[in-house]
Amino acid sequence: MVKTRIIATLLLSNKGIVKSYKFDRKRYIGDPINTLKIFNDQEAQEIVILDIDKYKDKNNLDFNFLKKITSECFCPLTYGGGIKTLDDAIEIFKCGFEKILFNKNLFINPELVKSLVSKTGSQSIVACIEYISATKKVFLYDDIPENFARFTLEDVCKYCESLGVGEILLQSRDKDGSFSGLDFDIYEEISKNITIPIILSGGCKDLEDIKKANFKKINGIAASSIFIFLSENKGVLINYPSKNEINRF
Amino acid sequence: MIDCNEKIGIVDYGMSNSFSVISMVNRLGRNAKILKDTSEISTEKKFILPGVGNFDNAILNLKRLGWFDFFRAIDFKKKYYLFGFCVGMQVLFSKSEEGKEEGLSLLEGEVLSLKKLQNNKNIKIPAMGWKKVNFIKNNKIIDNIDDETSFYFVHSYFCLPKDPNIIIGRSNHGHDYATIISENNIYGTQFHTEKSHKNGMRLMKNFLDL
Repeated sequence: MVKTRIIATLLLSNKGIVKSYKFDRKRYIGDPINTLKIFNDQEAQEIVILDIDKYKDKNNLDFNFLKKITSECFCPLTYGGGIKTLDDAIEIFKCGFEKILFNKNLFINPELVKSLVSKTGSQSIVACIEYISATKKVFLYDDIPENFARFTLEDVCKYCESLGVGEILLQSRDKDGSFSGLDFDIYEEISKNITIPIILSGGCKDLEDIKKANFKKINGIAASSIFIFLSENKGVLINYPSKNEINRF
Repeated sequence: MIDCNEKIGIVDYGMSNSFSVISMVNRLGRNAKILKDTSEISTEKKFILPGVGNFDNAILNLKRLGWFDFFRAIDFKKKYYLFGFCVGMQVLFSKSEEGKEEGLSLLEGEVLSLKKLQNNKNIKIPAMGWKKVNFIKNNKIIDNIDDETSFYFVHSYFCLPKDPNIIIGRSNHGHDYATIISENNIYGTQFHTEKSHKNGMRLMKNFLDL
């Protein structure tokens, strides 16, 4: 029985862990090394770390800082944010991450994504696609080439598949941090015609929501708020579900 | 007697995640050194071959850095030990469907596409995530680890050893396949031991204690 993967997403901003609400209103959560250590102690299945400032940052990636984060973590780690060259990507792997997540580079620099796929294999590359749940439309940043403007969400997923990525993380912007429930409809629509694993992200409400994802045989879900906050509008408490809770699904 | 001062060699062939491996070995309180090529070997007798990337790339890098000839020449019956993870296990065999290069051929058998095991559409490739391993044979490498423990997998190919007796553990991806193997002092896991939390650490400790 293949179970739904339960992935914790952590956002880095200014070397601290933050949590956004609908891609806005960032709230400081804590120190990244400590936060990661707690997730590691709670035996999180997988962790995705996204530096949300790096894409606009002219400075190089701080590999020593990233190594400090990974050295206390003995679970699978994905990194995304500010990767500009093949050398950056290779350094990221050397820091102890086994996957790299791309977002804007999928459209702006597909050659980088493709050359990395051929070097490391599909399984190391994740495509993160942002979309709006309310309209089911893909969200493209202003600086993405115009030819993508007419693409539907499914077109974009197929395009990413053609680049050779190993999986797609479907990120709902309007569900982000909202506790409004995972977007199962979009998963059903998109996964029909996509052969690689799809991870559903945005709006995860509670353990019941994850249980439902497992029942629907969804490849993976990624969530942040439910693992960071006690509940909606409440204080910070890192709480990744225990193995027993997951086994009861 | 376990020699805690013994140095473990972590083979860094190109894009491997050697940092994760050394972090785990250090966490276990043991010495390790990341070795870029065979000229950096001093007293190491135990080697870990991490795995990221595809088969041919791995083999070509092992050749370029001297590891290919080194591993083929040493005797794994007595003083040398080798532990491969993921592609690091696959390269121990003689060939792979993923590429054209000849493998290290330290173990007899081949590496095949997971597509051969797929029996329904719900089973996706690459295989990613935590999966149970069933122990089918006793071995020191699995001491203090429960049967059906889950480990972390990311792969598209699997090993088919010619001699089924070298299989210690098996997992299922449509059909069963070998996920822990051992012959003489050569060990391999298809999953990422270095990324499998406490049970990965137990497995690592068992190798270091051999």
